[in-house]
Amino acid sequence: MSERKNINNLFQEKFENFEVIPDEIVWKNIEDKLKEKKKRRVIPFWWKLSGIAAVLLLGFFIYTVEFNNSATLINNEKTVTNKEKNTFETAIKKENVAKSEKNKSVNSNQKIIIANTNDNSKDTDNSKIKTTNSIGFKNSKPNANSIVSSENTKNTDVKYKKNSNQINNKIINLSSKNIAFEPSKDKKITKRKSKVITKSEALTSENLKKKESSDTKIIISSDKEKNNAIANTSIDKNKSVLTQNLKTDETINKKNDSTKIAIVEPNALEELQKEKEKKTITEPKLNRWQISSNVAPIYFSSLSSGSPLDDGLKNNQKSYGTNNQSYGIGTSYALNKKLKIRTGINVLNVDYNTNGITYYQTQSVNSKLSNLDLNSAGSSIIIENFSNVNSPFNKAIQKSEGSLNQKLGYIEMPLEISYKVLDKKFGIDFIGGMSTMFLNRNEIYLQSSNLNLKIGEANNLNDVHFSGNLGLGFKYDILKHFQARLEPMFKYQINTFSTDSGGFKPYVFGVYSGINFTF
Amino acid sequence: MSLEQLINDCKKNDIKAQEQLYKQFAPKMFSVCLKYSRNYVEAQDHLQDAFLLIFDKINQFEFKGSFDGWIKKVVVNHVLQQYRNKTFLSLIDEDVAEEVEVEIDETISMEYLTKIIQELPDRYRLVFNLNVFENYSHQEIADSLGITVGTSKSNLARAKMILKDKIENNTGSSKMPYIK
Repeated sequence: MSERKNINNLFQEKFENFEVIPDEIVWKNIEDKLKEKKKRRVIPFWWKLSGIAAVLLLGFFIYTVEFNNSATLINNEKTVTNKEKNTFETAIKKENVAKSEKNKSVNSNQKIIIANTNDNSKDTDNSKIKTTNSIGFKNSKPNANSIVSSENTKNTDVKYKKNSNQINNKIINLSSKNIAFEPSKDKKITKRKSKVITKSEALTSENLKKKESSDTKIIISSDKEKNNAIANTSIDKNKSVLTQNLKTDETINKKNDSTKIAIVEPNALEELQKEKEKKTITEPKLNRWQISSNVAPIYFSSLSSGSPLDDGLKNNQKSYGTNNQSYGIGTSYALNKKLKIRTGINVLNVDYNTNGITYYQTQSVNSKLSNLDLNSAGSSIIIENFSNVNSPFNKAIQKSEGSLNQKLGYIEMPLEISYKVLDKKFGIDFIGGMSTMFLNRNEIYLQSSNLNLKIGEANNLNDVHFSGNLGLGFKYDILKHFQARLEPMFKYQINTFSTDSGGFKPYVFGVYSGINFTF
Repeated sequence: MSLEQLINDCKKNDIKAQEQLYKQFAPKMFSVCLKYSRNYVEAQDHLQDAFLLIFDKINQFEFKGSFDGWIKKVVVNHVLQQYRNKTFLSLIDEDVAEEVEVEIDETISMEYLTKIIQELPDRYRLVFNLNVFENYSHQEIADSLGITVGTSKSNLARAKMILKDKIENNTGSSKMPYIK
């Protein structure tokens, strides 16, 4: 039975109470996604925490770097002071040696040095120096020097500062006399020197306040040229001048060497110290070899919109797989402290979808996509760009919408160089290099909501291609030989396709993480 | 449980309430999706995504107006969005009589009627649905689809002619492609 009806009314009436219960699977999918979403809602909380942690870490890191710098400065200063001490000690040591020699042979220069030590013991209120000096006297043992130095080390810097000016000035004074009055000089000179000795010995009874004047007395008894120099140096009390004094002292000591008065090597202690310092600098042994594990989530994408499957699909939307990954092992060799050369072997699997295609079943056909070779399952399916289908009145053929999923697998062999920009417990590297990629998987699937069918493979993929790699490496020392590693790497693919890439410029971005073992 | 209570529970992301709401509205909304989509599978996809959207946006529903109206609007808008960006075939606008009468066999199945709507080209289908089932004016259709009023009118007329043709000749295919 049929009747004439307005088409609007017909559809309105017919569909008024039209209800269709959807498949169970729809709710299942919704439920899964809702639960996933709930889970995902937890993430921002962790993100916040990790954000705070990152800021703290960064702050701590900057602080450490700054602090270490200032610490180095302080250390340097200390070293300078130590050096000053050393020079000072050397001077005293020499005096002691000289004193011990005095018992054996009387020499005018040695007398002067004795005078100097007397001055020294007078100027310094420090009884320890006195004591050690006397030890040097009595025993004349070689180890007396070391006693002197160890005792002196116990003295505070302040004492040195107080004393060193005075003492050094006198050393200069007296030593310069040494130069002036070489052993070859006549007895008159020797007598003159002994006068100086007498005078300076007399000074022993005087108190510290009269030092300046007592200096002058000595100077008076010396010749006038020296007088001026001493006056200047004794007035200057600042550090730089002190250092200069010490230097002068050193050079004078050397001059003394030339006169062959001092038997003991003057810089022996200093050299020992230097050697020690050298050792501490070269101590961290460089572990050249490293083995590491790699695992990375991979973000595969293209810099342009082309399609490697067919030119006709270049404007179709591409969606890139989110479950792509890479894993493997690597090894590296440190060329020096900063530079490392590294290689390894990784398995890399990527895939992407070309959306907006339509497919329908028909008799056996050739592929409509230029770079796709169909297998037996795919040979009865026509695949076309959805927007190409412009036959709305085509009643004979049912078409469905779907996507093409291209899966690519490679064995990757990287060759990279890494350069350390920071090497503490936490370290940063710049990494650059290239990879050779060997194709080991080439599959194309036709996918829709109810279909996932392997239909063939691409015929334009090179068996071997390369990639240019660039990235940053972060490491954190966990144990002596083990480090945790995180490396965001960008790998631009070169020469992936043999003939027609369809303007598709693929790249891979991976956040490689793993554990390093150095040995 | 009242609908209001159910909606409030859904706002708290209570999965049981969400399921109940889905069960209550899915059949009606699925029929909407079927009319607006190209096929059954696509309609299911749209329904699924639309419900996810509904649960996501349900906080925005403030009990002004009916929930039925709101939920249908979300579904229709979602489906429209899926096709809006697709390239339409541009047809020359022409004036065609809007009133189309059709000779109809009363035994005609709902499945067949749904099928022939689905088989309409995207824009014809959308224009037809919006005009016939949502009672949108041509201006409103033009605004929602980003087309001119003329195009809307022309599309509607052509859609009706195709449907009339299919109803009278009963030529629409009713089988899904089967590939496994």
